Amino acid sequence: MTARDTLVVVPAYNESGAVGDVVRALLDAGLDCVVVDDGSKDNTAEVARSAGAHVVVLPLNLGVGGALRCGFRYAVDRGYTRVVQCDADGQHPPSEIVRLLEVQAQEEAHLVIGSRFLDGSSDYEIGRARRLMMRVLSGIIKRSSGLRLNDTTSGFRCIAEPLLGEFSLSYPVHYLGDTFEAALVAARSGYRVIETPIHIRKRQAGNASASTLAAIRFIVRAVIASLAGLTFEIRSLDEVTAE
Amino acid sequence: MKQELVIALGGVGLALLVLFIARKHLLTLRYTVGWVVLAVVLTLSALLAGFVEPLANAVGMTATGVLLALASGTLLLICIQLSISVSGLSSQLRELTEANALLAARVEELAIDKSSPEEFKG
Repeated sequence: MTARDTLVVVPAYNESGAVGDVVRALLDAGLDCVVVDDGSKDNTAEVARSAGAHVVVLPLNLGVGGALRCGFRYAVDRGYTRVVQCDADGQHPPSEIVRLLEVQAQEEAHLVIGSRFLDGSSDYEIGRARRLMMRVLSGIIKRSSGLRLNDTTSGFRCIAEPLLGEFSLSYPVHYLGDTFEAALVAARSGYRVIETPIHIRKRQAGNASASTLAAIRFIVRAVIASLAGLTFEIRSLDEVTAE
Repeated sequence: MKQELVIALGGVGLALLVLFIARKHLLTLRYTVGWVVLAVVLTLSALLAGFVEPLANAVGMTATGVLLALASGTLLLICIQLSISVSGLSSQLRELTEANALLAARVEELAIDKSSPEEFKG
């Protein structure tokens, strides 16, 4: 696989302050990218377009999951076989994207998750409550799929066919659906999911999309959904490869 | 007798309110019919209120309690049905929003291709 097979999907909501630099850095690194403007109230789309990105503008705010699925559909329609999810706030440097792609190719994985905690050297800090919740989520994934994950809520990932095609058809819109739930469902369905250490930067501009209180609420909802079998569904790898 | 009268008046009042809202085009025919049928059932149930007493005795409740439970149960079922409808509509809205955005992006690409024919020829 080459960089030409790969599309970087950048979901963006009110990120006009940082998205231009993010797009320029991606293009300088030789990566194709599409910015999915998730119903922004500022001029995110215009800034991204001026920087040279392809832009898809959602007329309504669908949430990160909705923006990502739209980006996946854009990629599949144009024949890309891999996508990388990349934040529009400048936290994910292109050098790490390239590394993520290399790991995906070497390991022939369907889903590669960039972990902020895997090598223990990351300076990324989270609060105690959030760390505890992430341990709970890791425990659930381990129990229900056998997959051992450190960073269950990382939004820095590479997704390859045939999982990409499945995600373009069915992908949850709610918070944590695109991270925790997607990894859980992919692992349960027999896709190869691996984790690799990454280093991220601090936000270049804008604010985080969810408060701690909202994050806890969403995490509780995700736990209930996974324990009660209410996660979204994709076809298993066996079903896909049998065609 | 007073209780039956209140129930019947409630049913008639509900029917009138629903028809008023429907005439203002705030309610579609589908939901109007459903609520009117419910109002008719409520009005007719006033005639059957006398038969609630034996049922109440059988389950160890008062007649009023049984009527309240039936009313609450009916409203609960309606809420669940409406939640299902809203969930379906949300999903359809999301599909439509994504399809619209992808179509707009495609149109934009085609417009750019048309305005630069040399590039289009490759």
